[in-house]
Amino acid sequence: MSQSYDRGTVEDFGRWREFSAGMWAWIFHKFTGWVLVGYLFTHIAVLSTALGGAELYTSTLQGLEALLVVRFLEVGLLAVAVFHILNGVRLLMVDLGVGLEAQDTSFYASMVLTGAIVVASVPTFLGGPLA
Amino acid sequence: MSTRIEQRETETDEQSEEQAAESLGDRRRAEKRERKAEQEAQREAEEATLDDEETVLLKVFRYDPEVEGKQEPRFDDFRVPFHKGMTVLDALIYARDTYDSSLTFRHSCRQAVCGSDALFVNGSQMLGCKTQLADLESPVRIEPLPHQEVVKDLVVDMEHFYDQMHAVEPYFDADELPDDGLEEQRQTRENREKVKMSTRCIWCGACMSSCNIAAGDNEYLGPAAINKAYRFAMDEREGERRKQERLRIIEQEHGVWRCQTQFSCTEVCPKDIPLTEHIQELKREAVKNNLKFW
Repeated sequence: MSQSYDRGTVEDFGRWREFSAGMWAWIFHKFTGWVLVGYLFTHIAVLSTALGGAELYTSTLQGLEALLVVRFLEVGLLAVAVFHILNGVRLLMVDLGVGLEAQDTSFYASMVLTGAIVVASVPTFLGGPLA
Repeated sequence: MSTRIEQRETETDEQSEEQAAESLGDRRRAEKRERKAEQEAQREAEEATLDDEETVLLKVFRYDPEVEGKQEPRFDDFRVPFHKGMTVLDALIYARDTYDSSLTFRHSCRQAVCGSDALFVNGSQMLGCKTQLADLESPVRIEPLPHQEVVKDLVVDMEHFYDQMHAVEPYFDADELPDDGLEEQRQTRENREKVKMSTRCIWCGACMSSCNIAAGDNEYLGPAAINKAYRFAMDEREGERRKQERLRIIEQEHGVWRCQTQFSCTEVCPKDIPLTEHIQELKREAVKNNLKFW
């Protein structure tokens, strides 16, 4: 059954257009989860420069903040983290059996809230001068 | 609509009288030709009237491993006249009876009770007999259920689904029987309410087909089977010992814990069973059952 059985056009990647809210929530949750795991490694790497003294740490951070790409990546990281948190709360509710009939609404709500928070964060992340 | 046997009745009466004139075979062949011409004319007439009628275009998945030239999966177009209240199954029956008698699909009760005609319609699992054509976007794409082996056209192999259903021991089996064995075993109204939705399952397999996890994990019990387990595990008449056995089955590696709450099954269930809710409740039940605070 799960062996791939070619049914031609029946099972192709175009199916994502037919996904419903719960499925999207699952996909985004997986995706953001992996992004956060990946970030953890870079996070530790950057923090570890503090082992080489305060000077090195400061210059590393200043060097990173001077890059426009890093500023944008930070906005992206916030988006990913906020969605993961909000959807995590949604999943917690689902696990507790609270409001399962509103699971799609809560997914859309977490998307909208993520969007709002990310937009609001843009001045903070992109505002400062690229030293 | 689905029967075409009216023309046959005259045959037997005349048979004995005219036997001498010509051989039986000749006569039968001539009759057959006549019937065929008649049918052809009727079909053409029907098709001609379609032009000024409201019609629906069906794109139906076709595949037949036994006929050379049909082994390559393809889509056939059928244009059927629409009438108010027409379902996907009605349209399929019309297409089969009018255009192509080799079009194969399962159906029986035509009222969402038997669970034979779960189909993949416009990218979602639905019961053909319960889905109004008026609600669907045209053209209506009809395919067999995904993640199951196709036997022919819209018919899929349900064996694995049934195996999973049977794996949860889906029958009432109380610890203690009443004294004379035949006495009614009554359920409280509250308990009945609790399992009410889960008893609605018609074994159509739509949920299993929609489930992403079941597609990737053959051993996963699947939403329908877990729902069945819920129906009996939550039945208070069965008793504690039986419930423990039931929980042991569903909390295995490929039991409830495979569910990742994508809600696909709940979304497609034609009987509106809150499958995810039931699975989640069994998860909590399993945890409570195993947690010890001392």
